[in-house]
Amino acid sequence: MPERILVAEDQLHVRRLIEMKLKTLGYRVTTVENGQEAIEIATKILPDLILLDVMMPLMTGFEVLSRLKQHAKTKKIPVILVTAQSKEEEILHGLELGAEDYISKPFSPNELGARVKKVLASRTTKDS
Amino acid sequence: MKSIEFLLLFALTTAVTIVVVLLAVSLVIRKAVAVARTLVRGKLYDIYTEAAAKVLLSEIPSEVLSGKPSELFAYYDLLLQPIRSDLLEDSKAFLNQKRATLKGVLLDFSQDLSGEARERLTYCYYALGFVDEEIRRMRDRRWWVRANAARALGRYRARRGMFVLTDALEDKREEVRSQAMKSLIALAGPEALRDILQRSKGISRWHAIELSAEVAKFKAESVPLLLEALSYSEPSAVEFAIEMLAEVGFVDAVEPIRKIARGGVPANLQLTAIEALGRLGDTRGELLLLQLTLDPNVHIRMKAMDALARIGTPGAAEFVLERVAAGELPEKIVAVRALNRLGERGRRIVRDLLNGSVPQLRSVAAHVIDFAAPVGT
Repeated sequence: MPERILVAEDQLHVRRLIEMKLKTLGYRVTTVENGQEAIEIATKILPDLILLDVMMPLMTGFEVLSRLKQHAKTKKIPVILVTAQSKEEEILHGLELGAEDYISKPFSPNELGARVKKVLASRTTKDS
Repeated sequence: MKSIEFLLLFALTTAVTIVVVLLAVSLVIRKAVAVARTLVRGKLYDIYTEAAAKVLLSEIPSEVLSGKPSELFAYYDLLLQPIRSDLLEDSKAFLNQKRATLKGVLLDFSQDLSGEARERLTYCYYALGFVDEEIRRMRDRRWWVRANAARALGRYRARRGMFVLTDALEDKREEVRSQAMKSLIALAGPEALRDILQRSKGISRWHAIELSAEVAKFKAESVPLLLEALSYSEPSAVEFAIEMLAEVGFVDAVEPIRKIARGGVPANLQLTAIEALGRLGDTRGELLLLQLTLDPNVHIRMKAMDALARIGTPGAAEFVLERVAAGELPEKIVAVRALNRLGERGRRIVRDLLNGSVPQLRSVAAHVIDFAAPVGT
């Protein structure tokens, strides 16, 4: 069964691009447009990985991340943050909150694919 | 007679009613058209997002990627074929809407993508005619059209647009010059600075602030070009280069800046150079600054004292103290303020002035100490 990835991103073009990229890599992809939906869907489908945009309406990626890490069902799901700027303090904040990795916009779709693969592989190693 | 009046009144009321009804109907129609357009735009955005994402994500065979550029471009063309065919259909008005939406989609992707996908985007702009369209718009008589075109060429990363952007550095509207400058930096990096500084005439304060934000991104890379600009004939370009060298903190610029600070140039330029010597904080500028505290021009003297205070060598205190005694009130204030920043020796002089016998100097010293004290003390 291919791994399921939840993509939380408010910008349609980025969401669509990430979705298509991940699907071509063989993953099952669910997309949401805001932070609130991200929490609801994550607790429901328990994805193998979450790609989380930092700047989103209703709830920022940081808030979503911190809630996911507090929730028993979702705290072990690895999260990759998608940040608008490569500001060091933002990245550190995200990593401190428990994100596995980050991707800064502008990003290369190939690099995104590689990072997703790496995080999922390290998760599999940890589990075994 | 009464019936004629009644008929006239009736006709008038009917006419007004018809006009009101027509207006209401036209408003409803306009609103409906606007809603329909928004829906169509949304739908088109959706369609083109998917189409563009396919173009950006399609796997390219490695032999094509490592082959000749012409082969790669031919492959890109192949990927673009569905979008091209779609743009061939429909009426001119709808086609314009489609092209505008597609351009918006591509620009949105441009902001968020890097690597080979970003290069594909630039190819899309060329292949779909957007670059040539903007180059044509750079000749439009309306300045805002030219400014938007200049901005777009930078966002497209279209190097073909560089020659029109370079020409636009001499556009009569500052808005166009400013956008051209930013786009040139986006396209050519710090190398664009040479053209910008050589061809810009009368760089305004606002223009300089915008330009400095761009140059600050390159820091050390921009230094050789800024040093070169110190010898340009356009005073505003030299002034900008001095300010940027001080901003970057390139201390080896002290020598050429000192030559300008010595004089024989427009007063504003000399003042900027003196200020830069202070900002650079290098003691090699100190001797000249000490001499300038005796300059006949009061503005030069005040600027020199301020620069000395920034460098902060206590030995300068004696020279500055002379200006406390000899200068007019504004100069005294600047001199006392400088003393207060010139180490313990300078601060002791200020305290002596505070307790001295000259009322004016007591007030100045009190004002300076008050001003320098942290809030709440």
